[in-house]
Amino acid sequence: MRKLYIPIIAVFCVIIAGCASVHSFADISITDERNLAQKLIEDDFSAFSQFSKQFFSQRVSESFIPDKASFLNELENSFFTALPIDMSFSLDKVLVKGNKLAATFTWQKKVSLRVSNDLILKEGMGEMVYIKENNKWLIYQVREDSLFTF
Amino acid sequence: MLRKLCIFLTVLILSCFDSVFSAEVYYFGSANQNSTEPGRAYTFKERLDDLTDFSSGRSLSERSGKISGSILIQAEYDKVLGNKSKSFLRTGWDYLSEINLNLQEKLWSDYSLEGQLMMRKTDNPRIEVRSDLRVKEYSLKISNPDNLFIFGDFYGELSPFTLGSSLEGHSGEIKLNPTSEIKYVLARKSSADIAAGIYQRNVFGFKVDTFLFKESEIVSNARIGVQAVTNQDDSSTAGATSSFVDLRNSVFSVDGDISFVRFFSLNYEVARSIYLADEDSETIKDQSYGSAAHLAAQFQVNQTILRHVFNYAQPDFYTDSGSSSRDRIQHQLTLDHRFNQQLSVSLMENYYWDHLSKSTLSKRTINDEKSVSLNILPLSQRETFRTRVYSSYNLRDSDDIINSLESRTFTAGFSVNDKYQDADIGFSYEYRAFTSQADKSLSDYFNRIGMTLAREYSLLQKRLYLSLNPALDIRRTKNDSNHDLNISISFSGQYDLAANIIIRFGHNLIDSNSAKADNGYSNNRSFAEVDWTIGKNKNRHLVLRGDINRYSHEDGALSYKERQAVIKYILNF
Repeated sequence: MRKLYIPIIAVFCVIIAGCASVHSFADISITDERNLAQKLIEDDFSAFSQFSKQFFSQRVSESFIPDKASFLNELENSFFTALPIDMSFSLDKVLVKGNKLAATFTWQKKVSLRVSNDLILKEGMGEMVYIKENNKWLIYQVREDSLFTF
Repeated sequence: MLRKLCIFLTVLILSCFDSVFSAEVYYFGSANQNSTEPGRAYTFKERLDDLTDFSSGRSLSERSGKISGSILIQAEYDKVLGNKSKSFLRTGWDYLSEINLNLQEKLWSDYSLEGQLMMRKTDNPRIEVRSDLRVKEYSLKISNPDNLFIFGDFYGELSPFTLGSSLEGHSGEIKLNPTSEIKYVLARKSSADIAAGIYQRNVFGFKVDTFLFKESEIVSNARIGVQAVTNQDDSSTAGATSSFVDLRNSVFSVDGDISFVRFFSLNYEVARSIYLADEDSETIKDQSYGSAAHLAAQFQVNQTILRHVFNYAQPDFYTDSGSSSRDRIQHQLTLDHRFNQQLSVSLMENYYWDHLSKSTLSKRTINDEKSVSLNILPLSQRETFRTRVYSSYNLRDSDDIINSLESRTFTAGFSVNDKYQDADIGFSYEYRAFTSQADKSLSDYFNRIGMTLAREYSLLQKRLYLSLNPALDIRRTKNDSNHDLNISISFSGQYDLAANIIIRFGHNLIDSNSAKADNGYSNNRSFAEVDWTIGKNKNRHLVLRGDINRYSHEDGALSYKERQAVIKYILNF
């Protein structure tokens, strides 16, 4: 039965492609949510790669739990211990509830230790929760394996 | 569940052919088929027609429901040369397909249904360990403005100390009356993993919120809530052995908010936890009990905001599904003041320590952090010209005789940003000195310079956007008079070749010249991408992308090169 799934889904795709030939829809929510989560995580890691506590603080909500100051200190210590070189990730779940967006993902990154320039490979499964404040999505919570800490 | 999905898809495919249904058989409520008011009843045929209508472009308000989503099919070829141990890629082809489905349907009265499903199949081990078809996310929501019921995957939240985590199961939110609401959760946080030695972890929670002084003109946002959450491992998992950890954790808390007009607001939570790390352990027999508290008070008068945050968490306080520090007392005071349109200041004092009663730590660490920042608009007539000046000083000490953790971190810097002839320009400088009094070899000093240049151009009457971010880090240590020099340059661009063809490109360079001999490296990553939107309705994308990553180390044996070519087809419907 399982072997039938793929051809059935493929036929479904062809029919949908054929039907959707005149208009596109404005609100594609699950896809938009995933695209948003993808961009938020990419932008946050890009900002972390040139970390400055003053400027990264603007990406973190004042209501960050458990404590924003400790989180920023942790990131600062991590950045000045090991320089981020490269990162890739793939989203698993993106769950939106009210003004919160929770994204779980698997990630791989490479960092270079400052003291020795050794290249270290790290990977993990992380969860990041964002909160929408004043029309901006800010980091609210980081769970599981943090993408930022060394 | 997958079998039912298969049946649903089969019915859906068949329903694309209108001739299959020739008569109305079922309807819901009174059938006034020409009415468009809320709560309008739809026949079964109307619902099926609306769901399978992908071409008319009608919005959700003009129909009973719709299906939307996307399909992704991707093939990737990777090649790795040189030191392959430093690469996550493997040479060869990888395939990926994903489908996202979204179902929205109006139900009786003002209730609506929303279903989401995401499935993936890939042979890329960086994405999935297993290569079979995987259901990554599924959920079903039934809701109206007052009530919400979720089945499947959801973000469960009751209060910061008790619950804030992704779960799988069932959750409900019910508005009992204008002043009371209840929430409940019956779910699991993680499924059993025999290979990793983990039981399924169940989460049960309940919350009652009461809203007070709703008619008051002086008090607003007054709420008091009571909640409880239990995390319990399911030790009946088949195949489990005695090495599995059987956790039990319960957290009870009271929380609330209150605001007095604009001048004063308060947010608080007080919690108590019961924690047993392993119910089956021979050595850990007793449950541990711990308390935690959070208080945030804010005063606002004209252009001045004063905020005090107090956090307290005992060493034995534990929350598996919530968020909390452990073994800490913290006081944080923040003052923000705006002098005028051109000048504002922010001051912060953050003081915290650990090693509370019953702590397992051998010594107390005390942290004292102070910071100040000024936001300046130097020229009132030029609002795009902005400057920020900041400084912080962190002191860390320990209460052992030799103060073994004593350190000082001083940071000072400034940034300037402006817009000049459609170009965004920025410059920043930062000095950071970390001094470890206990172990001077750990001290280091940074000078950091950064720039931002971004501008939009017109090339052959098409839009071209370029962005350049060069940065320089100079690091010095106590032990070495030489410097480590890190140069990074990040360049990216986008060219709109045609209405339906976009070209993206970029290059990222990190060049590290270490004070130590034969220790330098450079990392160059380049990419180019063509995004072709197909069709009149622009719902299909064909993306071709190439990436080259070159890591070159002075020790040639550590160097490697990665090449990636990706072809991706995306259909949105």
